[in-house]
Amino acid sequence: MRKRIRLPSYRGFLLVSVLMISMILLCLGLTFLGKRAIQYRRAAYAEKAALARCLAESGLDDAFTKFRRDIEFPPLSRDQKTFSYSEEMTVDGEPIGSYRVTLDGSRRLRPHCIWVITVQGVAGADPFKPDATRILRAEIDVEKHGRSDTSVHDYAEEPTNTNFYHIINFEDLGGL
Amino acid sequence: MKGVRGFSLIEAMLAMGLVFTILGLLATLMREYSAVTRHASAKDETLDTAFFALVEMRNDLSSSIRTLTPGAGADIDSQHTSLHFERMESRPDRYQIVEFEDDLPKWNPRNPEHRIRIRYRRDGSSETLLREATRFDGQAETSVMASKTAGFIVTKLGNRNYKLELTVKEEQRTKTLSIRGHVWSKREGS
Repeated sequence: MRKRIRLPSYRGFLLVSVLMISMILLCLGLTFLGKRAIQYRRAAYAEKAALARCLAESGLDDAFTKFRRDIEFPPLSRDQKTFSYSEEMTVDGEPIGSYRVTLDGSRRLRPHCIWVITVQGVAGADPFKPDATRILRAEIDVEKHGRSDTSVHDYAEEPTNTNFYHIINFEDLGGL
Repeated sequence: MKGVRGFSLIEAMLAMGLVFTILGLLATLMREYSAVTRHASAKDETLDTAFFALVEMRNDLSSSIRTLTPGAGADIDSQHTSLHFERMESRPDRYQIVEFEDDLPKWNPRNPEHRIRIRYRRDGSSETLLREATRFDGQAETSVMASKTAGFIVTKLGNRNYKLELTVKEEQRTKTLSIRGHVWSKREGS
Protein backbone atom coordinates (compact mmCIF):
# COMPACT_ATOMS: atom_id res chain seq x y z
CA MET A 1 0.00 0.00 0.00
CA ARG A 2 1.41 3.27 -1.05
CA LYS A 3 1.54 5.99 1.55
CA ARG A 4 0.54 9.48 0.27
CA ILE A 5 2.53 12.41 1.51
CA ARG A 6 0.21 15.29 2.43
CA LEU A 7 1.68 18.71 1.84
CA PRO A 8 0.10 21.70 3.54
CA SER A 9 -2.58 23.24 1.38
CA TYR A 10 -1.93 26.78 0.15
CA ARG A 11 -5.39 27.13 -1.29
CA GLY A 12 -7.15 30.17 0.13
CA PHE A 13 -3.86 31.92 0.86
CA LEU A 14 -4.55 34.43 -1.88
CA LEU A 15 -8.04 35.15 -0.53
CA VAL A 16 -6.71 35.72 2.99
CA SER A 17 -4.00 38.03 1.63
CA VAL A 18 -6.49 40.05 -0.40
CA LEU A 19 -8.82 40.31 2.59
CA MET A 20 -6.00 41.47 4.85
CA ILE A 21 -4.82 44.08 2.36
CA SER A 22 -8.40 45.26 1.85
CA MET A 23 -8.82 45.52 5.62
CA ILE A 24 -5.69 47.64 5.98
CA LEU A 25 -6.78 49.93 3.15
CA LEU A 26 -10.27 50.16 4.62
CA CYS A 27 -8.89 51.14 8.04
CA LEU A 28 -6.74 53.85 6.45
CA GLY A 29 -9.71 55.15 4.48
CA LEU A 30 -11.99 55.15 7.51
CA THR A 31 -9.42 57.00 9.63
CA PHE A 32 -9.04 59.63 6.93
CA LEU A 33 -12.80 60.02 6.53
CA GLY A 34 -13.25 60.18 10.31
CA LYS A 35 -10.75 63.01 10.54
CA ARG A 36 -12.47 64.84 7.70
CA ALA A 37 -15.86 64.38 9.37
CA ILE A 38 -14.53 65.90 12.61
CA GLN A 39 -13.16 68.86 10.64
CA TYR A 40 -16.54 69.43 8.96
CA ARG A 41 -18.39 69.17 12.28
CA ARG A 42 -15.98 71.64 13.85
CA ALA A 43 -16.42 74.08 10.97
CA ALA A 44 -20.22 73.77 11.25
CA TYR A 45 -20.04 74.39 15.01
CA ALA A 46 -17.87 77.50 14.50
CA GLU A 47 -20.57 78.86 12.20
CA LYS A 48 -23.31 78.13 14.75
CA ALA A 49 -21.25 79.73 17.54
CA ALA A 50 -20.81 82.87 15.41
CA LEU A 51 -24.56 82.90 14.74
CA ALA A 52 -25.30 82.60 18.48
CA ARG A 53 -23.04 85.56 19.19
CA CYS A 54 -24.68 87.61 16.42
CA LEU A 55 -28.12 86.80 17.87
CA ALA A 56 -26.97 87.86 21.34
CA GLU A 57 -25.60 91.11 19.91
CA SER A 58 -28.94 91.69 18.12
CA GLY A 59 -30.77 91.20 21.42
CA LEU A 60 -28.46 93.64 23.18
CA ASP A 61 -28.91 96.22 20.42
CA ASP A 62 -32.69 95.73 20.56
CA ALA A 63 -32.84 96.22 24.34
CA PHE A 64 -30.48 99.18 24.21
CA THR A 65 -32.49 100.88 21.46
CA LYS A 66 -35.74 100.33 23.40
CA PHE A 67 -34.06 101.78 26.46
CA ARG A 68 -33.04 104.94 24.66
CA ARG A 69 -36.23 105.48 22.66
CA ASP A 70 -39.05 104.23 24.85
CA ILE A 71 -39.45 106.19 28.04
CA GLU A 72 -41.67 103.48 29.54
CA PHE A 73 -39.28 100.65 28.85
CA PRO A 74 -38.93 98.33 30.68
CA PRO A 75 -42.51 98.25 32.00
CA LEU A 76 -41.78 97.42 35.63
CA SER A 77 -43.96 97.97 38.65
CA ARG A 78 -42.37 99.53 41.73
CA ASP A 79 -41.63 96.21 43.45
CA GLN A 80 -40.71 94.33 40.33
CA LYS A 81 -36.99 93.89 39.77
CA THR A 82 -36.55 91.97 36.57
CA PHE A 83 -38.17 91.93 33.18
CA SER A 84 -37.44 89.57 30.35
CA TYR A 85 -38.58 88.90 26.82
CA SER A 86 -37.48 86.75 23.95
CA GLU A 87 -37.73 87.00 20.19
CA GLU A 88 -37.40 84.39 17.50
CA MET A 89 -35.33 85.33 14.48
CA THR A 90 -36.17 84.09 11.00
CA VAL A 91 -34.56 84.30 7.59
CA ASP A 92 -37.01 83.94 4.69
CA GLY A 93 -39.57 82.54 7.12
CA GLU A 94 -37.21 79.85 8.40
CA PRO A 95 -36.35 80.08 12.10
CA ILE A 96 -32.59 80.32 12.66
CA GLY A 97 -32.52 80.99 16.37
CA SER A 98 -33.67 83.34 19.09
CA TYR A 99 -32.47 85.67 21.80
CA ARG A 100 -33.66 86.11 25.34
CA VAL A 101 -33.17 89.45 27.06
CA THR A 102 -33.29 89.80 30.83
CA LEU A 103 -33.24 93.28 32.37
CA ASP A 104 -32.26 93.39 36.00
CA GLY A 105 -33.35 96.59 37.70
CA SER A 106 -32.40 95.65 41.23
CA ARG A 107 -29.61 98.24 41.11
CA ARG A 108 -31.45 100.95 39.21
CA LEU A 109 -31.68 103.25 42.20
CA ARG A 110 -28.92 105.22 43.89
CA PRO A 111 -26.13 104.75 44.55
CA HIS A 112 -25.66 102.22 41.73
CA CYS A 113 -28.05 103.63 39.11
CA ILE A 114 -27.48 100.90 36.58
CA TRP A 115 -29.58 98.42 34.63
CA VAL A 116 -27.97 95.06 34.00
CA ILE A 117 -28.92 93.52 30.69
CA THR A 118 -28.16 89.85 30.10
CA VAL A 119 -28.77 88.48 26.63
CA GLN A 120 -28.60 84.86 25.59
CA GLY A 121 -28.34 84.19 21.87
CA VAL A 122 -29.49 80.70 20.88
CA ALA A 123 -28.60 79.27 17.45
CA GLY A 124 -30.89 76.56 16.12
CA ALA A 125 -34.57 76.26 15.36
CA ASP A 126 -35.43 74.48 18.62
CA PRO A 127 -34.57 76.61 21.70
CA PHE A 128 -34.65 73.50 23.89
CA LYS A 129 -32.02 71.79 21.74
CA PRO A 130 -29.67 74.66 20.85
CA ASP A 131 -26.81 74.16 18.42
CA ALA A 132 -24.83 76.88 20.19
CA THR A 133 -25.45 79.60 22.76
CA ARG A 134 -23.76 82.84 23.75
CA ILE A 135 -24.34 85.10 26.75
CA LEU A 136 -23.51 88.79 26.83
CA ARG A 137 -23.91 91.07 29.83
CA ALA A 138 -24.02 94.84 29.79
CA GLU A 139 -24.56 97.53 32.39
CA ILE A 140 -26.39 100.68 31.37
CA ASP A 141 -25.67 103.81 33.33
CA VAL A 142 -28.86 105.65 34.31
CA GLU A 143 -27.26 108.15 36.68
CA LYS A 144 -28.06 111.53 35.18
CA HIS A 145 -25.49 113.37 37.20
CA GLY A 146 -21.78 112.98 37.49
CA ARG A 147 -20.06 110.15 39.28
CA SER A 148 -17.05 111.85 40.75
CA ASP A 149 -14.80 110.26 43.31
CA THR A 150 -15.19 113.15 45.72
CA SER A 151 -17.79 113.25 48.45
CA VAL A 152 -21.02 114.78 47.24
CA HIS A 153 -23.67 116.45 49.35
CA ASP A 154 -26.06 117.59 46.69
CA TYR A 155 -26.58 115.43 43.64
CA ALA A 156 -28.18 118.30 41.74
CA GLU A 157 -24.98 120.29 41.89
CA GLU A 158 -23.00 117.59 40.17
CA PRO A 159 -22.04 117.91 36.53
CA THR A 160 -24.00 115.97 33.93
CA ASN A 161 -22.92 112.39 33.59
CA THR A 162 -21.48 111.88 30.11
CA ASN A 163 -22.08 108.16 30.38
CA PHE A 164 -25.82 108.61 30.95
CA TYR A 165 -27.71 105.93 29.01
CA HIS A 166 -24.52 104.40 27.72
CA ILE A 167 -23.10 100.97 28.30
CA ILE A 168 -20.77 101.48 31.24
CA ASN A 169 -19.49 97.90 31.37
CA PHE A 170 -19.72 94.98 29.00
CA GLU A 171 -18.78 91.34 29.41
CA ASP A 172 -18.83 88.35 27.14
CA LEU A 173 -19.77 85.47 29.41
CA GLY A 174 -19.10 82.82 26.77
CA GLY A 175 -21.37 80.05 25.64
CA LEU A 176 -21.75 76.42 24.72
CA MET B 1 6.38 11.56 -6.68
CA LYS B 2 3.37 11.20 -8.79
CA GLY B 3 0.14 12.88 -7.80
CA VAL B 4 1.70 15.35 -5.36
CA ARG B 5 0.68 18.85 -6.27
CA GLY B 6 2.83 21.80 -5.42
CA PHE B 7 4.47 24.94 -6.73
CA SER B 8 7.27 25.00 -9.14
CA LEU B 9 10.29 27.10 -8.18
CA ILE B 10 9.32 29.82 -10.65
CA GLU B 11 5.75 29.97 -9.32
CA ALA B 12 6.95 30.23 -5.74
CA MET B 13 9.48 32.96 -6.57
CA LEU B 14 6.92 34.90 -8.56
CA ALA B 15 4.37 34.66 -5.75
CA MET B 16 6.93 35.73 -3.14
CA GLY B 17 8.08 38.59 -5.34
CA LEU B 18 4.51 39.82 -5.71
CA VAL B 19 3.81 39.51 -1.99
CA PHE B 20 6.97 41.45 -1.08
CA THR B 21 6.16 44.12 -3.67
CA ILE B 22 2.65 44.56 -2.25
CA LEU B 23 3.95 44.67 1.33
CA GLY B 24 6.59 47.21 0.33
CA LEU B 25 4.00 49.38 -1.36
CA LEU B 26 1.73 49.14 1.67
CA ALA B 27 4.57 50.09 4.02
CA THR B 28 5.40 53.14 1.87
CA LEU B 29 1.73 54.07 1.70
CA MET B 30 1.34 53.85 5.46
CA ARG B 31 4.48 55.87 6.10
CA GLU B 32 3.34 58.61 3.72
CA TYR B 33 -0.18 58.50 5.14
CA SER B 34 1.13 58.82 8.66
CA ALA B 35 3.28 61.82 7.67
CA VAL B 36 0.36 63.51 5.91
CA THR B 37 -1.96 62.90 8.89
CA ARG B 38 0.62 64.24 11.33
CA HIS B 39 1.23 67.30 9.19
CA ALA B 40 -2.49 67.96 8.71
CA SER B 41 -3.19 67.59 12.40
CA ALA B 42 -0.31 69.95 13.33
CA LYS B 43 -1.60 72.46 10.77
CA ASP B 44 -5.14 72.20 12.15
CA GLU B 45 -3.85 72.66 15.68
CA THR B 46 -1.85 75.77 14.73
CA LEU B 47 -4.81 77.29 12.90
CA ASP B 48 -7.22 76.35 15.70
CA THR B 49 -4.99 77.95 18.31
CA ALA B 50 -4.63 81.11 16.20
CA PHE B 51 -8.39 81.29 15.63
CA PHE B 52 -9.07 80.72 19.35
CA ALA B 53 -6.55 83.48 20.21
CA LEU B 54 -8.26 85.92 17.83
CA VAL B 55 -11.71 85.14 19.24
CA GLU B 56 -10.45 85.54 22.82
CA MET B 57 -8.82 88.83 21.88
CA ARG B 58 -12.02 90.06 20.23
CA ASN B 59 -14.07 89.11 23.32
CA ASP B 60 -11.57 90.82 25.61
CA LEU B 61 -11.50 93.95 23.47
CA SER B 62 -15.30 94.20 23.39
CA SER B 63 -15.20 94.87 27.18
CA SER B 64 -12.62 97.62 26.85
CA ILE B 65 -13.34 100.93 28.60
CA ARG B 66 -10.16 102.69 27.50
CA THR B 67 -7.92 101.83 24.59
CA LEU B 68 -4.27 102.77 25.01
CA THR B 69 -2.88 101.29 21.76
CA PRO B 70 -4.28 102.23 19.28
CA GLY B 71 -5.00 105.34 21.31
CA ALA B 72 -8.03 107.59 21.01
CA GLY B 73 -6.04 109.98 18.80
CA ALA B 74 -4.81 107.30 16.40
CA ASP B 75 -5.78 107.75 12.75
CA ILE B 76 -8.40 105.60 11.07
CA ASP B 77 -6.73 102.76 9.12
CA SER B 78 -3.54 103.16 11.14
CA GLN B 79 -1.78 99.88 11.87
CA HIS B 80 -0.25 98.87 15.18
CA THR B 81 1.77 95.90 16.36
CA SER B 82 0.14 95.59 19.77
CA LEU B 83 -3.25 95.99 21.40
CA HIS B 84 -3.35 97.63 24.81
CA PHE B 85 -6.50 98.49 26.71
CA GLU B 86 -8.20 98.70 30.09
CA ARG B 87 -11.28 96.79 31.13
CA MET B 88 -13.16 96.11 34.34
CA GLU B 89 -12.24 92.94 36.13
CA SER B 90 -15.02 90.46 36.95
CA ARG B 91 -15.01 90.29 40.71
CA PRO B 92 -17.60 89.58 43.41
CA ASP B 93 -17.20 92.94 45.13
CA ARG B 94 -18.04 94.90 41.99
CA TYR B 95 -21.22 96.39 43.48
CA GLN B 96 -19.75 97.11 46.87
CA ILE B 97 -20.85 100.50 48.18
CA VAL B 98 -18.32 102.77 49.72
CA GLU B 99 -19.60 104.90 52.59
CA PHE B 100 -18.29 108.41 52.89
CA GLU B 101 -17.98 110.76 55.84
CA ASP B 102 -21.34 112.37 55.21
CA ASP B 103 -22.96 108.92 55.13
CA LEU B 104 -23.97 109.30 51.52
CA PRO B 105 -23.28 106.00 49.82
CA LYS B 106 -21.23 106.17 46.67
CA TRP B 107 -20.45 103.65 44.01
CA ASN B 108 -18.04 104.04 41.15
CA PRO B 109 -18.85 101.73 38.22
CA ARG B 110 -15.33 102.20 36.95
CA ASN B 111 -13.48 101.90 40.19
CA PRO B 112 -9.76 102.25 39.40
CA GLU B 113 -9.00 99.42 41.82
CA HIS B 114 -11.15 97.04 39.77
CA ARG B 115 -9.46 97.83 36.49
CA ILE B 116 -7.17 95.52 34.65
CA ARG B 117 -4.78 96.47 31.86
CA ILE B 118 -4.40 93.98 29.06
CA ARG B 119 -1.78 93.99 26.35
CA TYR B 120 -1.62 91.62 23.40
CA ARG B 121 1.71 91.59 21.61
CA ARG B 122 3.83 89.27 19.56
CA ASP B 123 7.16 88.19 20.97
CA GLY B 124 9.55 87.97 18.01
CA SER B 125 12.13 85.72 19.65
CA SER B 126 9.70 82.98 20.67
CA GLU B 127 7.27 83.71 17.80
CA THR B 128 4.35 83.63 20.22
CA LEU B 129 1.37 85.88 20.79
CA LEU B 130 1.34 86.95 24.44
CA ARG B 131 -1.42 88.29 26.68
CA GLU B 132 -0.12 90.38 29.53
CA ALA B 133 -2.63 91.30 32.23
CA THR B 134 -1.67 93.80 34.91
CA ARG B 135 -3.94 94.50 37.86
CA PHE B 136 -4.23 97.74 39.83
CA ASP B 137 -2.00 96.36 42.60
CA GLY B 138 0.77 95.62 40.09
CA GLN B 139 0.15 91.89 39.99
CA ALA B 140 0.97 90.76 36.45
CA GLU B 141 0.21 87.61 34.57
CA THR B 142 1.47 86.59 31.12
CA SER B 143 -0.01 83.82 29.04
CA VAL B 144 0.82 82.44 25.62
CA MET B 145 -2.19 82.69 23.33
CA ALA B 146 -0.72 81.27 20.11
CA SER B 147 2.59 79.89 18.91
CA LYS B 148 4.32 79.78 15.50
CA THR B 149 3.16 83.30 14.72
CA ALA B 150 4.73 85.37 11.97
CA GLY B 151 2.92 88.66 12.52
CA PHE B 152 0.27 90.52 14.49
CA ILE B 153 -1.38 93.71 13.27
CA VAL B 154 -4.18 95.78 14.79
CA THR B 155 -5.93 98.20 12.42
CA LYS B 156 -8.18 100.94 13.74
CA LEU B 157 -11.30 100.97 11.57
CA GLY B 158 -13.32 103.47 13.55
CA ASN B 159 -13.80 104.85 17.03
CA ARG B 160 -15.08 101.54 18.33
CA ASN B 161 -14.06 99.09 15.61
CA TYR B 162 -10.79 97.32 15.09
CA LYS B 163 -9.43 94.65 12.79
CA LEU B 164 -7.18 92.06 14.36
CA GLU B 165 -4.85 90.09 12.10
CA LEU B 166 -2.68 87.19 13.10
CA THR B 167 -0.28 85.50 10.68
CA VAL B 168 0.74 81.94 11.52
CA LYS B 169 3.45 79.75 10.05
CA GLU B 170 2.62 76.43 8.53
CA GLU B 171 5.17 73.94 7.19
CA GLN B 172 5.77 75.62 3.87
CA ARG B 173 3.62 78.74 3.89
CA THR B 174 2.11 81.40 6.13
CA LYS B 175 -1.56 82.06 6.63
CA THR B 176 -3.22 85.24 7.89
CA LEU B 177 -6.42 85.05 9.93
CA SER B 178 -8.40 88.15 10.78
CA ILE B 179 -11.39 89.12 12.88
CA ARG B 180 -13.23 92.35 13.57
CA GLY B 181 -13.67 93.61 17.10
CA HIS B 182 -16.26 96.06 18.39
CA VAL B 183 -16.06 97.94 21.67
CA TRP B 184 -19.46 98.05 23.39
CA SER B 185 -18.81 100.21 26.42
CA LYS B 186 -18.64 103.95 26.14
CA ARG B 187 -15.00 104.70 26.55
CA GLU B 188 -13.46 107.35 28.70
CA GLY B 189 -12.86 110.60 26.91
CA SER B 190 -15.02 109.60 23.92
